[in-house]
Amino acid sequence: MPLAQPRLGPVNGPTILAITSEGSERQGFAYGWQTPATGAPVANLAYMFPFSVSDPYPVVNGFVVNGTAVAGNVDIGIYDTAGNRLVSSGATAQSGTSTIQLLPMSYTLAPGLYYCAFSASSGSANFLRWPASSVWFRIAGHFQQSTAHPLPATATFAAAAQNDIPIFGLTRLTVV
Amino acid sequence: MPLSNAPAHRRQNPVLQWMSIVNGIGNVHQGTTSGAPASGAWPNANRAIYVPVLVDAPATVYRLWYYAGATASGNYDLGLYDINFKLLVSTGSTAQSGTNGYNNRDVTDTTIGRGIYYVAMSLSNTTGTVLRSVASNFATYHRAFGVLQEENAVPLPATATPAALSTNYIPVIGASLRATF
Repeated sequence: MPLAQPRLGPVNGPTILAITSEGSERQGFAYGWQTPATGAPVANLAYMFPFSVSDPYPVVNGFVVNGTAVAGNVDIGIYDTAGNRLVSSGATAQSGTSTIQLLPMSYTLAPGLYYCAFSASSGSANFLRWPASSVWFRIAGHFQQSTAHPLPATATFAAAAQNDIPIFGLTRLTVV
Repeated sequence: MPLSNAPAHRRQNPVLQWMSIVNGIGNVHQGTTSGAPASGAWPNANRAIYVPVLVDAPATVYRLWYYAGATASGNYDLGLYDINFKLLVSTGSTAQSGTNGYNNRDVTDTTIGRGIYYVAMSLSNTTGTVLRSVASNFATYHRAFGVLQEENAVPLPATATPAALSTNYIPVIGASLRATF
């Protein structure tokens, strides 16, 4: 017997980032219990977290939460589960300390599973980050890729090995 | 009955509030220093703060509420906006009264569909207090979850023009999908 109505999942929020319901809580646990702190990411390493959308989701901005120092370039992108880059901001100079930096992009996601990716070109760049064991990031479905700035057209997923993740994400809002 | 014929699963809490991992933005509260909200003076006179809530299935909003802090002063307005920031229902500007407890107001029954909504509150001065969350890393942390603000917003505007949150403050506010709360 066919379904009487579409099997709709939870509504996505105005922003998509690793510790909202699009991220860890979908996996059945939360890894945001520790207090975020500023720090530098590994230069040229792509950090990737999974998320799913239940309804068409119009992405208009990627974003990063900058810390106390800016340096080099940052790139935010979206990949499908096969590792194909769907859209990215492209390498953009990190700008503005202790604030959110928007990285415009335009792409409407169809319902499904995706990866949101971040890379920065400088080990001196400073971002707000969540600390957690890489064990938790791995079982939450995170991946990473070395030598990935700007973000490559095709991702090569490797096991997440970092003990923190910069706070970055996507939004349908024009301002956050 | 085979599993494939089961009705579509949708999440729905009887209360819409941002701290919920079901209908809210969830883990934002884990970024707080104290782990618990506390009474705090409204950050700026006539400022509105918009906090997102998620609705997975059609529902009816019966009440809007906030949790009062230690001091009542000035006028507040509570409202519900859609994702296009159109005001759907509000209490209207009302003198703040009562302390340290829920202040919930009956509003026109308002049926809403699946989607993203914003519960909003504005207050006319900085003497009145509300229970609020303070993140350990200023407003940028709250901003990442889509919390917004607008100045000169008592009463709440018919169409919001939100801006980036500038203060480390999220009020404990929400909407009830039941007539009693």
